[in-house]
Amino acid sequence: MCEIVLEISDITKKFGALVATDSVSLEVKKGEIHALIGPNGAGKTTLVSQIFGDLSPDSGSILLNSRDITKLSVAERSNGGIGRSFQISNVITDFTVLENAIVAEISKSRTGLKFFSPAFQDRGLIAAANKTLGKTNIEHLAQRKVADIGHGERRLLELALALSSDPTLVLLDEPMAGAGPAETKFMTKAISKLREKTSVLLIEHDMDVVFQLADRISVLVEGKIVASGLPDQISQNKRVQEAYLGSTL
Amino acid sequence: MNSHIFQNNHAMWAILFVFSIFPIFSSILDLPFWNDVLMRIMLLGIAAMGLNLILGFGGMVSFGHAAFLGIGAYCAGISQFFGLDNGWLQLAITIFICGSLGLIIGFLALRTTGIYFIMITLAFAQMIYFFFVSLEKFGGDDGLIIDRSDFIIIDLYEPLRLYYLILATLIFTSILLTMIVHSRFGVILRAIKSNESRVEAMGITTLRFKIIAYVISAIVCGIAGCLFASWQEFVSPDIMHWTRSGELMIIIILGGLTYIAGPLVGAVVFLLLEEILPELLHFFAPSIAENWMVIFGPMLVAVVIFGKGGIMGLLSNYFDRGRNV
Repeated sequence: MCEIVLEISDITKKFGALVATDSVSLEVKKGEIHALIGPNGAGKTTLVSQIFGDLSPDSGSILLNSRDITKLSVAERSNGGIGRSFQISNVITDFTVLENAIVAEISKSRTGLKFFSPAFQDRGLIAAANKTLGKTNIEHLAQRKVADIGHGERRLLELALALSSDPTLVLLDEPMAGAGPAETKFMTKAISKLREKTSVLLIEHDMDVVFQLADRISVLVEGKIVASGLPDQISQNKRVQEAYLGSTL
Repeated sequence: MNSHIFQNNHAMWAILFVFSIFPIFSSILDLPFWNDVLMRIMLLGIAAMGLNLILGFGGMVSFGHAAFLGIGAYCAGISQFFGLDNGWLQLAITIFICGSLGLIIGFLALRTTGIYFIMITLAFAQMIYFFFVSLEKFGGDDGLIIDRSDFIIIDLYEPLRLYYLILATLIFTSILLTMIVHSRFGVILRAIKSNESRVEAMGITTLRFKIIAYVISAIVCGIAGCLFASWQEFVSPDIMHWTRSGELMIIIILGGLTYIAGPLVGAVVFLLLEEILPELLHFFAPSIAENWMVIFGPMLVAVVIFGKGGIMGLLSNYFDRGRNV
């Protein structure tokens, strides 16, 4: 049961004199939702970027399913089982919702090097893409242009794309950012259901959401993990309260 | 099953149809000169369509594609210089050399994006340009006078044979590029143009797709160049001067870079205006006829500013089709 999906050991990343990630170690277990919280500028996104491969750490190692992925590219890590939703909505805006899911499907099936038969008319692809959209219940948006749908709907699309490859670990970087109350409620439900299929590393500002969802919480302050544990332990932790001075946990 | 991807492409079929029956009219009206103009339009149209695969659909602004046009022309010219005048073989050589060179240049240049990519492609094109200028053996700056290639079953010195060979190549290119743009590969390419980081995050090594598209576009431009040599019966570095790369880009933007038919429409309008405008001015305002570009320039600017999506964009707005590609 305590199988470890993601194991980060002692990674450090410096930007000049600024130590953005200061020998951070972190574990995400199978089937758990692990929340990473911390005040603005604590280095959460920098940490996630290193897990996903946009940035490479100066030292330390990252293991996914006991396999060292520290040196792999973004695409290789994605194929290795990491799905990601970005802090800022990141979808293919020139395409429709369904076409976005089709791109994900082409990637998953590794059939991108087919040059002749039309892709958007391929029944197999469309069916698989609709299934992907079903993961966040947005099939009804399929024919809409991404540019025309609401912000919250984009977040749902992004989550669907992150899940399309059936990843073993999903990185959710502020999935609620910009979503309305109803969408937040729906997203919370959708994320909590992910436990059955995958593990989640969740970065989120909304503390209500974090305490509703997280099985474990790690707190990042100025590039260091200052506390890690069960939600109850975290909310009682003095150092965490100091870091969040003014905000109630 | 595949037919519908060609249906929404009226402009392309209309132009190809007019091209295929035009020689009838030019012979009735005794205007053989215009066959020549149309061949030039078709040749640059092929090259522009090739460039547009990466420019319009891949978002890679290559400012050096005339180099591949030139290399194609020299593949024909130099082959003939050494006595190899079989056109099919020359085409094969062109495809091989433009493909390999496209692979090397693409591999190096596609590590950069944006303005750096524009500059590095221009730099490669200039290198190739001056390489051929310095080749004294093949005429250097003055170029090389050649015969039309020998396509064995097609004697290009018979009337209209070259015309229809070029037209056939144009039709072939149009169909091939339409299929590629709609294929899985094309979808990924267009997705990369829209949001490369998302596509990478989905597990696709985007560089590989961009390089392949670059190679295809280099080969298409090379083929246009190879035929260009037969049309001109002359090859010189002039064909790959950097202004020609600019001309190809203007043709694409004028026609509409998100449309498969865009570059073809652009080539027709651009090159016809280039012929007709000076004549018209001669007639109506002889004093400024020599400076016809003073009129031409603002016209291009107006289309780009008012017709977002070029002429094809204007047309599709007018007919309310709205849909790209």
